[in-house]
Amino acid sequence: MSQDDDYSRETRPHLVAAMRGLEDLGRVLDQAEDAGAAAEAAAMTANTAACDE
Amino acid sequence: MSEPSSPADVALDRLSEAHGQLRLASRLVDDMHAGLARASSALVEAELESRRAGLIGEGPLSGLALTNAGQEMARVAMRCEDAAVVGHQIQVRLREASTAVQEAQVGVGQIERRELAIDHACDVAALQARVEALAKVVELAGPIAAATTRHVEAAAEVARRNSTLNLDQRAQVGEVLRMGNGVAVASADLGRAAEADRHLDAVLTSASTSAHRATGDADVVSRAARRRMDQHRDASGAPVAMTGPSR
Repeated sequence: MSQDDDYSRETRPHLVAAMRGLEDLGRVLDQAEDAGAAAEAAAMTANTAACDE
Repeated sequence: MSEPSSPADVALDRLSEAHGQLRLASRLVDDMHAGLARASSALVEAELESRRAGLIGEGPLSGLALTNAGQEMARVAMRCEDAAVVGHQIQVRLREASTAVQEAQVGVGQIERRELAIDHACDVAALQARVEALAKVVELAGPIAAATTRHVEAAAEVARRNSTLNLDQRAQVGEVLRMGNGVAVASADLGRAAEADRHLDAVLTSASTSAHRATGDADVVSRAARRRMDQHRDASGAPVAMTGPSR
């Protein structure tokens, strides 16, 4: 067994964890984008109503 | 662009800003994902080269495969370092988004509600709930981005340490092998190369924590190998084409 295999084993868990973290982040950002769009729409509604009054 | 005037204007402006930052962060996540996929491919190549070297055994071809493995690890390191830079850019975008959402919350809080018509008051209440939900999701994203970036940096550090350490040492072994090529007796060449490979393994084992120390150790290996070659030449009287590290 060579040193490269050892280092590969040491590197891979970090890469896998980073990939998983990135997938979680992608999902949270999708939610955040949806929440942002909804909040923006609510702000437009509130703003339009304020202008009408 | 004119400054937003009413608190509702401020909220709308800040929410647009937050939304834009989140879209940018999402694009950067896609970039980072692509970078990590490339790093993962290079890591697979490094593993294959390393195993190839193990199957070949001792000799120049094994050294070449190990050198290739080191180069692939250098690619892994480079791609992880690039991905880490993107990770930091994502965190900057998320901080900007968080600040904008907080400012939007302040704007919504400043909307005067006591004299509002009931429908409008409901709209403002809905807006407040939406902004609070957004704030929670954005706050959740920050630590995930930071943890992901730390993992990528750790992967880069390990890969870089390996590629630097081994490439330094392999250069020394390559020198020994070239020296061996200059000697007339082929079997003696192979013996020296094998001995150098064994010394390389020993050095790799003992010097894994420091590239600097590894360079020094590899130098010792190289000098010891030269010394042994000189001793062998003197003892056997075999014709030697040259004693230096050239063909």
